[in-house]
Amino acid sequence: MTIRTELDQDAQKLTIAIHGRFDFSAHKDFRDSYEGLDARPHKYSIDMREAVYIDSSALGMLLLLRDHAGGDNADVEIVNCNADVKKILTISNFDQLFTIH
Amino acid sequence: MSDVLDKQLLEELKLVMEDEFTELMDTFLSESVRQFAEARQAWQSSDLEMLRRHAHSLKGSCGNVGATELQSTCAALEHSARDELTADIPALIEQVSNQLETVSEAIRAL
Amino acid sequence: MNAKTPGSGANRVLVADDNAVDRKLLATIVGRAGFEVIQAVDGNDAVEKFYAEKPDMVLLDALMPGKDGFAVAEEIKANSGDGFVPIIFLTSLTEATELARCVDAGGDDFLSKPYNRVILQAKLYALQRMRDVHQTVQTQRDEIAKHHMQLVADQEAAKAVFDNVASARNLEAPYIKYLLSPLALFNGDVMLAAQNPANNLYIMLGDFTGHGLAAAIGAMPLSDVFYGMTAKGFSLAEVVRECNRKLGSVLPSGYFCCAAALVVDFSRYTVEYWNGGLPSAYLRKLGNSELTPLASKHLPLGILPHDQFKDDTLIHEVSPGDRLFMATDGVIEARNSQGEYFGAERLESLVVNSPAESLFGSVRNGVYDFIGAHESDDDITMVEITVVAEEQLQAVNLQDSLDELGGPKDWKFSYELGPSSLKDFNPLPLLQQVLMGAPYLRVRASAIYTVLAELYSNALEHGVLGLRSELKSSAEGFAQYYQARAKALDQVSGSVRFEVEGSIQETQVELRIRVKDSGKGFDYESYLERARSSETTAGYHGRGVRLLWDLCETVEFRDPGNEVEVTMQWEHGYE
Repeated sequence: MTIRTELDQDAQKLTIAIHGRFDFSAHKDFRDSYEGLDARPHKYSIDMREAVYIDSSALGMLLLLRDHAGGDNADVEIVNCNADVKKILTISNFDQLFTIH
Repeated sequence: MSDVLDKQLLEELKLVMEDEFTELMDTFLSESVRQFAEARQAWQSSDLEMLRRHAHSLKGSCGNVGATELQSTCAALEHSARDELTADIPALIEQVSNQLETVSEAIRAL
Repeated sequence: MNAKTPGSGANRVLVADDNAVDRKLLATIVGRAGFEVIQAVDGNDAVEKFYAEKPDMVLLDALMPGKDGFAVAEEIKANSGDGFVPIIFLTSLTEATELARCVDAGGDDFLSKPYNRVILQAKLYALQRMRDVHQTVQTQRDEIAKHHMQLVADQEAAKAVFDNVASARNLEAPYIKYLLSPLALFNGDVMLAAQNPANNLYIMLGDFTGHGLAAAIGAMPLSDVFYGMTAKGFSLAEVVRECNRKLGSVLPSGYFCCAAALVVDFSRYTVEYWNGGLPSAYLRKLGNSELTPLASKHLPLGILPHDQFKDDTLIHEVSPGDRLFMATDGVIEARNSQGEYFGAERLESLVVNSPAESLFGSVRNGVYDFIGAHESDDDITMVEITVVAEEQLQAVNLQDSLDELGGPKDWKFSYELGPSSLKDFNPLPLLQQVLMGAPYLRVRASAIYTVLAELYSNALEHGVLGLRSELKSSAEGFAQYYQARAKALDQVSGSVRFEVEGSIQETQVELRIRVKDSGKGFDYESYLERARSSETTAGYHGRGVRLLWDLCETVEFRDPGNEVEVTMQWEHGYE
């Protein structure tokens, strides 16, 4: 599992792309990708195009990101979800907390 | 006379054994006599296997003290016993006996 | 020549050679290298000395009279136990087959004659290092084994606590079939079941994120809340709301519990459910080839703050013979040896197509067949509830002894809820609590609660909110009724008042409950007429006034129909 990040200075948006299995082993890398940045992005985008698997610990990590990004005031979207990922997000009703494409 | 023993090997042996060199040589002297006697006894009992073993053993000792020619003769005796070439054996035994005599003298002279 | 000091402890060497010269030479070389030398003159001597002296390494002449080196080596290796005793064969043998025989016998290295001091020492030191490494690995292995045993013991203790606290209790009834994964402690599955005072069955399945102790710890406050509140008569919405609040305060950020809860009301024949994050549960109606999915509409427990939590539930009508099926995602995610998932489609197909009586068994066997597993390999948590007629319910354990005569003998109180309370507050648990303060009432706790609930729901829904119960007699009307209820409750204006009197004289107990609502009343005469004359009308199963007639001695409506008074009487000690 690898993570690639991209910061768009103008749009103040941080894109975090997940490659591989998004499970418990991704915990530290995922946190590191958004913590300790100098910039304070207003928007976060999680790109799931290359993610092959997502489980409940990944959902937990997304919640932590949302807290970091301002909780109820956070603007976090999850994009490029394949059918399996979307299914998990739907059953958990995470669309009530995140914008999901 | 000194050709009978490998000088270089003996030098190295002295280095290794230090003050136990003499004791090692004495052990060889008594052991070799015993091993030869047992070899001869085996031949007289027509026990080729025992003969082979003792020849093998004596051969080993010789190697350790640098008695290279005697070592070869013992090897020949060992192989003859192994291959049951009984015709060759008496002569080889004689040869071993003589060479052992020479080697022992050389050692006592060190 | 310098004697090089060998490494740590392993420095006792057994030298076995039947040739005195060789042996002496070797002993000297080995001794000068810093080792302690033990000499053996032949094979048998070598074996004896091995047992007696326990050397760390062995130099072994291959050909010895009597027991030869190969036999000695085999015996040493066989009897070294856990330890590693390196063996160097002394051989003038040069043929590959002979050397192979040395290896087969357990030799770790060879040394050929004539003996080279440097080579011999190098080999000895190398083997000594190997022995040291082996020793370290063993020590570490033993440490690990010890810690592991401790860990296993800790986990067994955790599991025992978990089993006592959070896993299925009260589930030994013929209308409930369940499987709780034997790995529940580790995969985060929880199954809770209890009856409320009206004998309604509350069941909650939970699936905590994380594994092991993290999951087990969350299960404990969850089960406390669930069991405590259910026993007191709180509604499903209130129970899940409090579960969410409790888990939110207990669990670290990023941890949550996917959960689904059902309440089966065996007197009104309804199932109410809330599902946050578990796969759909299913309602399979008797004689129907369709499934009604009870889908996840909410976020899992422990995520939303209290003021944002959504506790809205959905209600379906059920009849005896209907079945409810609920499972955690262990079923859907069960995999076979090709890595295929069992999947929701297969599950639905089994649930809808299996014969009703063997529904649970068919699903269970279907999953096992698919994954090709033995029962002990499963990771399946699922439950099936058959809706049975009220008479078939197991009785709740009577709580207190029948001999209690203590408590207030003669009392009354009144309690009124205004509009701002009616919307959010359920008075039943509180009223029940107060009434249970009279111990002689406890023997009929269930009936009392049921009566209170029936009176209150009538007063609220028909009296204050003005809803018509006729709506409930059709399937679509049923859903509409509850939607209308939610909407009307949002804008409620009105009040409900309870007046309760209780007394015990000698052994005669009397409980009098009067409920009055602020509504305009209704034509109760015709209503009672209809109720008296009809037999078990479809959909009427003991609801409404028939329920009150069953449980109360007298039921009296008062003009204009917004007030009801009931009395319950019994002989204490004879119930």
